[in-house]
Amino acid sequence: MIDDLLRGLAAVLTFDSLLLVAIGTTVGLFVGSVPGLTATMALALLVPFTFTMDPLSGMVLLGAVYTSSMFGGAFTAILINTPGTPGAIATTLDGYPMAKNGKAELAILVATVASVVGGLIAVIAVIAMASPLTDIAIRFGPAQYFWVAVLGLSLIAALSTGSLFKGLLGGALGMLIGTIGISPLGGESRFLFGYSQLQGGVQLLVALIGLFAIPELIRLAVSATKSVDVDYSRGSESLLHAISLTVRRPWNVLRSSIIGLVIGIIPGAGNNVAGLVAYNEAKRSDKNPSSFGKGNAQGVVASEASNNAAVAGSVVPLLTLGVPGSPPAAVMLGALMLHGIRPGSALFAESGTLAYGFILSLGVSALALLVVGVLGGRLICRAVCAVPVTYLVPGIAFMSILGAYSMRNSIIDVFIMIGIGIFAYLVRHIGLQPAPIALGLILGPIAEQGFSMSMLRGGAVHDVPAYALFDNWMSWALIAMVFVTLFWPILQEARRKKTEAAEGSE
Amino acid sequence: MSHTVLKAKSLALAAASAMALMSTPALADFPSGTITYLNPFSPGGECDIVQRMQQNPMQEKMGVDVVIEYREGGGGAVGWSHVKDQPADGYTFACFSIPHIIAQPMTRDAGYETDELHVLYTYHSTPQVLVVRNDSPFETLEDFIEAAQAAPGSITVGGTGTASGNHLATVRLMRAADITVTWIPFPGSGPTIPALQGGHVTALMTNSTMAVQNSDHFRPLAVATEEQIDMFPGVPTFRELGYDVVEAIYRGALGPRGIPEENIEVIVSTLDEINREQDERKQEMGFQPVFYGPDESAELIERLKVEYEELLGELGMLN
Repeated sequence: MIDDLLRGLAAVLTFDSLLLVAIGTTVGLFVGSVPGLTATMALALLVPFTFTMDPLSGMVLLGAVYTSSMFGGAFTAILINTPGTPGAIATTLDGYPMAKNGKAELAILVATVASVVGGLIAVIAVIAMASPLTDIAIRFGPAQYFWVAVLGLSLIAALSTGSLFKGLLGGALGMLIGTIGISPLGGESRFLFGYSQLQGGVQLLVALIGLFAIPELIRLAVSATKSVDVDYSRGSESLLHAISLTVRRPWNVLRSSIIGLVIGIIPGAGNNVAGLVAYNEAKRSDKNPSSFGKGNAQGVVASEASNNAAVAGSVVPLLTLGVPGSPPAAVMLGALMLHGIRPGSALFAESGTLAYGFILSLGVSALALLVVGVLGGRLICRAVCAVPVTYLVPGIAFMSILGAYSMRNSIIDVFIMIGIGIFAYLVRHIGLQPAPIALGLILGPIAEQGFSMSMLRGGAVHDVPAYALFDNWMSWALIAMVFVTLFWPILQEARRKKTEAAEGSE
Repeated sequence: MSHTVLKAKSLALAAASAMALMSTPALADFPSGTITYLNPFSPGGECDIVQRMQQNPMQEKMGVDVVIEYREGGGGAVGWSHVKDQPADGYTFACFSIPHIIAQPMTRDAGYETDELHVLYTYHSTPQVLVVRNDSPFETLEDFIEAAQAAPGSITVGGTGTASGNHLATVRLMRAADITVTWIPFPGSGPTIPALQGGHVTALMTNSTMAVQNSDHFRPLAVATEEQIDMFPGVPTFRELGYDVVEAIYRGALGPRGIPEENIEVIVSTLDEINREQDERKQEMGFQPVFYGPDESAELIERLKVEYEELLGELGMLN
């Protein structure tokens, strides 16, 4: 293994490979920071270019694009409150308030540092423990998927700033939207309203643009300000400040990276959820949880460290099982197969240089984010702040429409995006936030699938089908986590009141 | 950006085909513009892999750009119902898979009918294979069937979706062996692999590609082909063991009805040439190449229509 590791390292530290990393991270940053351009699409377009390369170079390029696009999603999340990738939903929660407080550049720098650290920690973990990590992916059966989805949905309780009821209502709405299309189990069509195009359901990214970008655009347009209210008066921030902010809470970065790594490994749940889980944990363990959602840099750290760690996580099942953990990883699997390479446990034995070289290159790409993030981040930040709203709004609107259309080359998707956007703008006034709706939309189908498959399996192996949801210690561990997530905020509140009362009586 | 270009191009194409209709039907210089080769599934799927393999050689042989456009959704139905409405000029065709294009319109309003699509060429099949884990107590198909007879419904078989190739092969096995197993549909072929490895299902009815790629973990019990095939040396067919189960997923290219004969010939001969060149490579990946032109493909569909109607009818799934 050490031999392969060193040979892989040598192969990655060549001029050619580093050049590919540089190209890949630049492309990825662009793709990630434009809402609607997805890593999956960019990778699919790049695959034919990798035909002429040797397999490792091809994978290095694809890996760099994937890593960097995950990171690029943070830019729009911070600057215009729109996650450029689903993984950046949690970044909006504190990143955008930071920007509003005049700390846009600091937020971007913190996101950069956290992404780099998260990526590196995950790469090291994957190299050291690829095979035990694979076990996690294998142990996850339908019941565990169901409980993970429930865990994700219980985050709504923690994420809701304001009313819990409104948070749950938003989550339920999202789950309802998620049922549109062909049902995962029986193949029946649901809520098509006579449009056969709706068979494909509502695309997650189309909904995200609608939920996040459109209300922001409407708000900007009606607010009649001259430029975004991202206050830029503070001038440029130093990278050192960002590093110290990130490293000051080493436990937060470490925990978020581990969460991202583990959730990234579970095929299907992937990095969409990783950021939110890490964010919730950061908020829960903080001494001052109420500062989250108002511009706490630790929130950005948690989300970004975790969604970049999830990238390395999602290549574990890809390389060891031949199972892609995320849609972009599916494209990389295709690229490997086209090169005649068969992923699976034999990969590390037969093409160790390739396997380790590829994983190491993800670390190199993570480091490259530092350069790209600091330079590109400042540039994009200044550009967005300098452009007057009269140009910015139509510009972003144009990109949003393009993005929604390009997902499936479908005009219906554009109407869906606009419809959801107007709806999200209206319900924001009664206190419904976009994050719980997005969470419901992501997790509803996973929960449904996991539940129905568990019941089918339960019918085969138990007297009562529902036992299948509880017949494994991993299910119970997840159930315990659900309870902690649900009742922690209430406990915390009770304890705060108690101490306040104690202080008051003195 | 490229999308607006595409849009403009399709408008131009529509105009061009309208003009062509007004003048003469002869289009000897086909193709003279960009070809859209639609993928109704997501990037990274088996259509995607084959289409990416074909893209460059197609561009070289036809001398025009070939663009792969994604329109996923509804298990391919969104893409195919789009293709049926495109101008029938040969500039737009799509990757297809059987049983999808036959079973979907039978079980629901899929937005298209099988007969509205013209299958131009069928380039490979992925025969269905019943696999268990290496350490499974089932050494042979007989072991598996005996266990299923002893406790009907207690054995779980996983695979992709409902009324899919995996599912229909399982239904055929249940009929042929007169057994009952519990079918567990997964959202794609990817998640089935860790599900079997982790013991969440007893067996998988899976595509030959998946069985080949995971041969170091999984043991094939039987193959649903007419005769034994090279990629599974020594593995019996269901037929040899006395169970009439033949099922495969076929992939190829289809367009709307009414494409001029000459243009069809160009597309078919190009795809056929490429398919023969890539024969060996595709077999290594677990694809079983076939070389069906429009007529043989139509025969295949007509034969399967009758069989699927009966199977789906028994399942109570006919619309």
